Amino acid sequence: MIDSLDYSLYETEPESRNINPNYKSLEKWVTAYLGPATAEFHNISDKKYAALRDENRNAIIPHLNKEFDGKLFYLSVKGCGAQEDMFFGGKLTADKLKAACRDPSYFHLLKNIKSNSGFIMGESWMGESPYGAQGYINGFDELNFSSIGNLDSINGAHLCPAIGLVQLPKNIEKVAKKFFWCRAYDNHFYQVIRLVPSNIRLYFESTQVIANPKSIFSLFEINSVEKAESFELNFIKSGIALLTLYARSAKIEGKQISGIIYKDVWFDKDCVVAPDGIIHFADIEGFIWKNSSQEEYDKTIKEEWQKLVFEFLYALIKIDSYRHTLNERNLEWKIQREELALLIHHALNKDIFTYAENRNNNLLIIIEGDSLPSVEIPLIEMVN
Amino acid sequence: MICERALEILNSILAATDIICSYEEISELANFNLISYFTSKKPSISLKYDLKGQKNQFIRLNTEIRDSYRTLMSMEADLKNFRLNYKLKKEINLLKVIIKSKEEKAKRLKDQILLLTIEKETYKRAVKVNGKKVVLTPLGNTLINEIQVRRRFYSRELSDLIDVIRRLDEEFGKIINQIGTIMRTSKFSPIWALYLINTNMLNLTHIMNDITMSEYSYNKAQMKMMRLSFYLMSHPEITIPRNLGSANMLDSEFKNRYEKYAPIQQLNEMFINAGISTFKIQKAISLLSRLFSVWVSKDNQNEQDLNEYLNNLGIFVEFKGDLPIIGKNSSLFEHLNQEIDEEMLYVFITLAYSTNLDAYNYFYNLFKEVLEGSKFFSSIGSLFPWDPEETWMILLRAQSNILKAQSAKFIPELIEYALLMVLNPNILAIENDITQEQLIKWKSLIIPTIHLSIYSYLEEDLETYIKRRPLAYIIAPAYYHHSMLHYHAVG
Repeated sequence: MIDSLDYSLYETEPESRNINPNYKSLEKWVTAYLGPATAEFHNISDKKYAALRDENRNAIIPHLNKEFDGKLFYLSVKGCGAQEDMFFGGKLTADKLKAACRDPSYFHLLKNIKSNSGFIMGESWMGESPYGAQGYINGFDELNFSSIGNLDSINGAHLCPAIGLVQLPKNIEKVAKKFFWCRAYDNHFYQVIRLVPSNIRLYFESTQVIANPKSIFSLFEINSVEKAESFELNFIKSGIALLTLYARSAKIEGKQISGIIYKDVWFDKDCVVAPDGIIHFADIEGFIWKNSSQEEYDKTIKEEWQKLVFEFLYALIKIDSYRHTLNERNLEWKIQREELALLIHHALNKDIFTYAENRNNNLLIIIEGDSLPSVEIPLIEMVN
Repeated sequence: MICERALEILNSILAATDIICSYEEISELANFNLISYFTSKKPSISLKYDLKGQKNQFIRLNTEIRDSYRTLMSMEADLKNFRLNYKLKKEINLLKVIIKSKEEKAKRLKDQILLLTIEKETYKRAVKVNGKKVVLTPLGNTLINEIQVRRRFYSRELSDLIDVIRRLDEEFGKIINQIGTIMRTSKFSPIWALYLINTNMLNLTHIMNDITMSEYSYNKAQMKMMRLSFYLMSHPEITIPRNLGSANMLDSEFKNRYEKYAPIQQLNEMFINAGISTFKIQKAISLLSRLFSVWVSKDNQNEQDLNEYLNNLGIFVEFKGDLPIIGKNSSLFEHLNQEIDEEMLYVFITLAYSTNLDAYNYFYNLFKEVLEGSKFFSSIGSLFPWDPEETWMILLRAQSNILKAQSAKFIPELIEYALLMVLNPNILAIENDITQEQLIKWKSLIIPTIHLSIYSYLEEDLETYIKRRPLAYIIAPAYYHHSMLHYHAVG
């Protein structure tokens, strides 16, 4: 497998590190990892890891993996250097890096770079992070949100937990700050060290559709109706858990209820699906705390639900249809939805926060929580 | 019964419209499992009642499971404080058994409900034929499309078409098994296995594998493998080299015998005059010229074929936007007017064999969502000697066989793999009566051209695609350890 990996990361000593207390056993993995271009610029070549690129600034090291509750997680580094030119598009090249370099005294060192990909730069990305790395606020947010969970879950809502946050070495940061096109990020540079169960994103309604269940089921070797049903049950349970994250993370503080909501993050591109069907939210830097009064609580829960439910249902119907195809049943939608409603009952029967109920021919999801008002949301209407 | 009549009856049943037909016709459709007799009586009120009752029971059961689970959670929390409470431990274990048993019961009940629902619905959809009620089977449903796309079969016996489909499935299954067998001991990319199968040169497997292992650069190895296949295809009398030394000697000998075919200069000039750089496809052009040289040397008549090919190629290369056979609103017209990139060069090379340019537009419409190679795939789709709708149906059948064998991991790969399987001469012979002459041309020119184009352009391109999204590296690494062209997960 090492031979077929397409990327390399180079370990180096970070300026500082913060560990998620839930993952102290993985402390030795919490260090700085540099993409090839940054490593070559600084002549760092020992402690090399074979890796997989993941999106623009991340990479996964498959060799560093650990099983939790029977599920395998892989080390993923968020912020190990960018691949793309932020303004002019295309892969970063020596010329493009030179064009973005604001200090001519570094020009000669650019000759050390052979691969050009994975370069940490100083351009400010939405004011939140340096390009190719992670910013101070986002980084600590990810660590804090991961720390409140029990391993990879906040009361049943699964996420890709950050096991640590490292500040990049001063010399790396100093050089990176001289590489920008327009505006430089002015805080320290960080990397989030996290765990992922896979790198399969949902990608619905995108030109990059990997969501074809045929492909995913084949990939996960789901070749029997039983396996498909188990996958689907996990998909439903974990999907509804993420849709109700606000309730699952809610804390009552006086007359206020404080819980986590999603900001500019979505199911289609910000989640990964594990081989067992469990959806894990990957980009948890988009989590924020929101306070509601007891009266506003119902509204917040429903708003959060509506934000993401289409993407969940879209995927669910695809998966459900493919399960029937595997069973060589060509069901009409009106029958399929009846059975799906039953499956949803089944999927939620061991969830503490939600359950399904049939009322007036509608399938409702009831969302509960300790001392929290109960909220009802219809999921499939006019179902017998 | 002829296919046209079978289509009429099956369509009536699909539309739930009663139709008059003979006992023999109905028996034939039933014998092929395209329809089934619906023997159940009208669903009784009790069925409806049962269904409702069973649904309620299912929901109740799930509520019980939920309640038991909550009790279990609370007991387990208690146990943390009183670890030595054996009575509590026993109760917890008992509750777990109860929950498990209820879960199994719920699952059985859900399956039973689905069966009852289907029975009820099937009755509604059953059509009266000769006093008997019949329903369309999933196979019957599929066959409607299979007949519709094959107008050539309308006046032929239904049994002929069913036999063709059965043989197609058997052949696809055989090809997939052969690839699996070859790849168990081979290090080259599995599309080479398909190439050897498609050109009926399985006896080259061993030496091809040796060449793959001997060269530092896989590209260089592929050039050698390709040349060797040209020479041996044309000279079946030659003993297959058993070792690298003999293979190298053969390569040198034939390299001299078959110089690059002279018109290749014209071909290069044709591109240059049109202002199109062929820099990225030089290796492919070089191999193509060698292929043409071997082809022309076999028979004087072949030179005429080649001139025709070069003329066709010229049409695309020198396209000025004024060719009446290419509609101005078509995708092909649009692509010919865009900047000619590497993919389009391979499209030209392929389309020059095509006799149905409209098929390109048909396939592009289907493939345009595919990220890599959509134009190239469309050009391959245009080569088959029948309607594009028919090709698409056979491609779907190939894809279905691939998926059943769990042999493909990615959508582009699935299409690529299916197209290559459909290129197999046996598939062509099963689907349509084509002449021996056509088959020879197909095997000696078209298959090698597509193969060298695929590994020159598409494999490299797909590699980039996978690098961006290497889904299977993590989940199924075992498939990828064989060759550097790791994305092919076959067998």
